[in-house]
Amino acid sequence: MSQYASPARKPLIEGSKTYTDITEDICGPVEAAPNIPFIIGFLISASLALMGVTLIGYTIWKGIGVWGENKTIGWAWDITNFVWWVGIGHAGTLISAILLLFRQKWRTGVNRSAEAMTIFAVVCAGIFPLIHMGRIWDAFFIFPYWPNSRGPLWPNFLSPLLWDVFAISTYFTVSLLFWYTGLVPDMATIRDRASGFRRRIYSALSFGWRGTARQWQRFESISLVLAGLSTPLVLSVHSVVSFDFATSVIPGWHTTIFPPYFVAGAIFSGFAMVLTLMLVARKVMNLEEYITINHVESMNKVILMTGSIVGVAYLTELFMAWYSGSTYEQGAFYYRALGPYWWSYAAMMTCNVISPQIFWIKSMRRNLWVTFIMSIFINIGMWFERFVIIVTSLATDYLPSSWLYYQPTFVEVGIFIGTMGIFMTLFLLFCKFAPVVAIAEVKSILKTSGDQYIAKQAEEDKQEDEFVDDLLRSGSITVARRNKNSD
Amino acid sequence: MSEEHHSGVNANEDKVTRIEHEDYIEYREYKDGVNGKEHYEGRYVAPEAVYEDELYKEEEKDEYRYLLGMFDDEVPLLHAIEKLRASGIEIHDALSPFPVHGIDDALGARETKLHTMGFLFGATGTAFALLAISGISVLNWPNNFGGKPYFALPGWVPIGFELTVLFSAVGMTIVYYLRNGLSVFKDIEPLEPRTSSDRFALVFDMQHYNSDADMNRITDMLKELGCIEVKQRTVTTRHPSHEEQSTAGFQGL
Repeated sequence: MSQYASPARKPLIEGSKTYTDITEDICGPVEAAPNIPFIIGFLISASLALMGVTLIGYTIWKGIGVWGENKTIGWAWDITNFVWWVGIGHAGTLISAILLLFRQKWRTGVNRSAEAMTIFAVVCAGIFPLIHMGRIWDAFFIFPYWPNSRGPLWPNFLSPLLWDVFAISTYFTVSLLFWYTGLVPDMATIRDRASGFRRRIYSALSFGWRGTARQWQRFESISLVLAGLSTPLVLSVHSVVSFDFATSVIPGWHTTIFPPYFVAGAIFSGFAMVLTLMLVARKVMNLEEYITINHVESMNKVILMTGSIVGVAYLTELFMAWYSGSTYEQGAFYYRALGPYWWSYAAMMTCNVISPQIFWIKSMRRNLWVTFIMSIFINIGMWFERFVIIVTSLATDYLPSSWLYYQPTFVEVGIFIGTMGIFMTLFLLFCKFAPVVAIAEVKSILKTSGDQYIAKQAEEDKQEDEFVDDLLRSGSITVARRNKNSD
Repeated sequence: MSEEHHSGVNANEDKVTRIEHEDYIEYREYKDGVNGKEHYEGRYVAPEAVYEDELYKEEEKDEYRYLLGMFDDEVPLLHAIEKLRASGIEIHDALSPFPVHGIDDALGARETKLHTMGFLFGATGTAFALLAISGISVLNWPNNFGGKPYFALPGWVPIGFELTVLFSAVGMTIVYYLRNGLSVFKDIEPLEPRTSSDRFALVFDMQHYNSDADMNRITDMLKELGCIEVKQRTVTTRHPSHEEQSTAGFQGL
């Protein structure tokens, strides 16, 4: 019945933790009073969020003429930010769903916070298509509803923009359900340690969870099915986002490579954001024994792989532009790399393709400072990737006389920084009021991934080997041929 | 009022028996519209006895007693469940801070049908999406989008897929919360708060095992099987057994 802690695997929980320790360590930061760094961080984020909300109000009041978009470049920072935020929202579901199906145990340390980031990132992403409509009060038009107050006019079900509405709203709903369903038992852990008013709050948040065998059985069932549903969902969401471009007739957008390339890019940027925040959080909240260097290394491997897929996609795009023989396609890529926005293309290539190659070196993958700096680089590079795709393709379109240069106004910059404020505000609130690491899930891997169990198993295996060796040497047993490295 | 009903509480037993045997009277009062008196039929009790008896009943109704065998590890817990069930002791429920693999089999619990519900909801979503879109695009208001056919099935795949996932996830989650008795308004009285942290508990219903002999037998077995502590717990809300949790309707826990 006891699980085998394979000595071949690296420990995922360090410091010889017991179940009691895990509860104490993870509930501790939630139960403590907010400290000065938290308050300062919260005030800064909330101020930025307030600035963003104000500028969004200003945009709605004045119209999107306050942005820098023009007749030629109708999509710019708004859609760049949208795609960037949606992309960041992909790591959470990848970690919690795909890695659950693949039985990757290291996901338990980071899935809770990554899923929270998914939800908050999708919230930030959703703002942009809405405000970019101009007349936000007509936003309900994107949803087909019945009875239809628009007369016989329905949304176009063949439009990728409508697919996007369905994809993003489904993704948000399913991620939220998945995240909160997993959070309920951990909220109950905090409830059972609290008293008074605090207990009543967490009692409502934990939905009356008891932890009975039957409840856990259903919990396992719903986790698995939601993971199974989220796996194709996460792949579909960014595919659908890429359809917004791929199904158009703009050179530089109209390519079939977009869906896989966008999905890989999304996971790439999502992991970068998870690393940026979790490297800080594990330090501030003393979670180094739960989010270990081994976790960081695993995430860096994912970054290396998805970054390389993105790099191959960039080169494939260039190759296909040349190989297609289409003058417009060739022109689009010539101007993309060497035209007025060459600097953004260079930033993208440097940050996304060249610099992550450092992670081929093991010591770099396990170096926290290198990882932190790389994660920031990738965040920047992936933002530039979307900017390059959207703005450069539009800036130099079919008709040279309408070519224009685009520059953002302070409103667009302010809204983008504002969404970062919203994201950070929500994330800090989450860190303060909910367990950042999935308590129950970490406990369930303790016996196979706790360092003391792995060390014990290694010792037992060694003794067993020595025992067999002794028997062989003394001649008590004989084997025809024993290959020590056969397993 | 039956004898069996009282058996759980010993302190008041003498008094109750006295009430039952001496103070219960056959009581009949008729109300006629004219004098406006209450109308009761059947067996009733004298006023003084009603007062005491009602008080006692109230107390008894809100009291459920359980014996908890506490473990600090899941391995002895699973072993204990098997041994106890083999010797014919009925385990009311098992509480744990995380899902323990093999506990369902050990308890003899049947598999959940939740995933089947997920499939059914998903199929509903697909059907709904395709019927709604075809109804709109073919019957209600056919529109010519770039010469594409009205019944443009391949173009409906993305929305059809998203709605399948949405219906399945939302439907299944609703069923999950209902069946598990989870609600934001639910304030439970945990049998043992530490079972959400670092303790595993086997729960025995003391309505079944109320004699000292039973209790001693279970306690001894538990101690032998690696239980670190045996304790009694009285709560005001009933904790349904694991069978009830799996067979009861949507009221769940």
